[in-house]
Amino acid sequence: MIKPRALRKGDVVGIVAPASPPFEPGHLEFTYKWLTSLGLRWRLGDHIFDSSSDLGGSDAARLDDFHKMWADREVQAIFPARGGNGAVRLLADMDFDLIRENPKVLVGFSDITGLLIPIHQRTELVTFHGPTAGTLFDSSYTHKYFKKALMRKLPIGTVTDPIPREAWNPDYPPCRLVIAEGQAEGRLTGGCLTLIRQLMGTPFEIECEGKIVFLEDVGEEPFSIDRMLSQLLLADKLQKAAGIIVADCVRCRPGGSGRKVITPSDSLEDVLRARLGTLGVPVVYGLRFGHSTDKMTLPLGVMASLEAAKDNVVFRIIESGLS
Amino acid sequence: MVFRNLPAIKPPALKPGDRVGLACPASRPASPAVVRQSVKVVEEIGLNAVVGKHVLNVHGYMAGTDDERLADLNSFLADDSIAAIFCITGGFGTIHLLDQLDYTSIAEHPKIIVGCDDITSLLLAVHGSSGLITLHGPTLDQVRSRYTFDRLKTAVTSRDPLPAISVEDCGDERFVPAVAYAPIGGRVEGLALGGNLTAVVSLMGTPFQPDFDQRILFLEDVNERHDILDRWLTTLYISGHLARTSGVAFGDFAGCGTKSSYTTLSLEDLFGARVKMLSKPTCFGLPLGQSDRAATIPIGINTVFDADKGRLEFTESALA
Repeated sequence: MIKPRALRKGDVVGIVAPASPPFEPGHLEFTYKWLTSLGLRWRLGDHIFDSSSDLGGSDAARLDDFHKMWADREVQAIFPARGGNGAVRLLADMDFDLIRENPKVLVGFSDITGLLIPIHQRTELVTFHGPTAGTLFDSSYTHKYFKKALMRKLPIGTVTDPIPREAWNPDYPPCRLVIAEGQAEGRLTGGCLTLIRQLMGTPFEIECEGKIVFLEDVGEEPFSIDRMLSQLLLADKLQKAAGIIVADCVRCRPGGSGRKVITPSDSLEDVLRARLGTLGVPVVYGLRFGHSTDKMTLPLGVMASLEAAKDNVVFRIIESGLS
Repeated sequence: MVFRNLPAIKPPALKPGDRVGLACPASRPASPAVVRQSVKVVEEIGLNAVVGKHVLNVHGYMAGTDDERLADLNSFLADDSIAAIFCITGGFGTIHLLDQLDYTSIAEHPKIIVGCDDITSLLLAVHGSSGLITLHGPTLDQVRSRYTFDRLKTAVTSRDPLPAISVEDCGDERFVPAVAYAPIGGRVEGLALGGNLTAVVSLMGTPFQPDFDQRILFLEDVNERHDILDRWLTTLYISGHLARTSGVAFGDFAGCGTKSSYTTLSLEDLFGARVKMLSKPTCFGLPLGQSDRAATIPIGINTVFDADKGRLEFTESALA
């Protein structure tokens, strides 16, 4: 395992758009404010504000920006500005040797999963599933776990839940709904389910064996989540996982996609129980990472443990992702 | 077990009075009336419909539990008096059944299987694992025009090579100029393979992933966002399989659009850029998919694809 150096004050962050571009230039003002407060400096990719269809410029331009940041000795971390679409398009021509020889922090979620998993698997570099530069920081919880994961060399340790913002009407689902009980220990891998599916059948397919696999998505119908899980099961992937953690999956309820709807429907909880409930590994649903306002930062490749009992779930990240 | 490039098995053509099983391996029909309509369509072809026991069952978004849907399929597959299986509707759920079907038995008792949408995964799994020629055609709830009906009827009853499928089909009935938009022209030959893009991609990385080598790949989808469709075509591209096809025939993408995005380009732009990188003969707008002009196309039959003209010609029969 190759671990990037912990970020410290004065470090330079490269902001790029390997997928979709920032919504508008002003959107990054918030990013600059947060980076300043963390004591970090930044450098923008040449094509950061390019636009082509829903992508941040042509594949060649986006990949060129990405490569330049890995090659730049003064850049210690790479923060994609946004997910969206287009990361997987870059894989065909990606220079994995360049990345292996210049280990640095790469952090993002959603479409950026399409970079985190392939780069982690090809180079053994620990990559980080956490906020994009454009989502710094939606909550104090996100801020806390970002610093724990990226700015100190200690393991993250036992993961706690965010404080509910509205006690009268808490967000659904609860943070620790047990789908299947059990205990597991293994290295972390995972990300956005749509991207994990997009990589199936390619040379960058997710490796699940013996791992604690974390999954999240946004705005997908329960049947669509079922399709993706069923594909991973048919491919003998999830059966081999040591444990599975599913995020709260924002708007993944019937009608939540705002497009194709089959009625009647099942809830996502029904789907998870039916597809993952009898694999014989612990499965927990509701932890906050991915598209939720509160999101922990999860390092791909480090050891973690999961204990899921009916009324007690302990999720512990027992190894640091940094050197 | 994965079978590859098995010898093609052609199911027997249907004769008047043959019994046809009506199944719902995925979702439930929109209403019980749809089952009645489906029976009527089958009778109009001159066949007798046998409705599966569980087609109106409700199990979330599926027509009954996996066991119930599988039981309907298996009872039709095992029954030698049933000459074909027509699916009533698509939706979701077929993928749950694929690892539980007896493909050896299917090869030994060849019969017509026809459907589209989610049923694509059944058509491809059966074809890939048994060699049986399967038919990508309308689910019975999608038979909404004379063209669609006539093409379905011919495809299940004729021992001759099927008539060509062309972008110009129904040209005289539609007040829309029928043009072939071919980003890359050319004339190529290969076995036809494809169906619903979402369903095709749902088999990637599984034992039922189709063999794309030198195939004429046809793709359609319905009610999906362009950026998501671009994702799935990217899977075929990054996996290297798109490069191994001989050509790509895009059908209808009914109800697909850029949705909430003001910058996303058209499918012709997005997909066109891909096939240009690979120099694959490609055409858009073939009458394949889920609209009022949906041709039935056999999977596994030798096909000549003329991208400039937007035409698929079949050089052999699909049925025995």
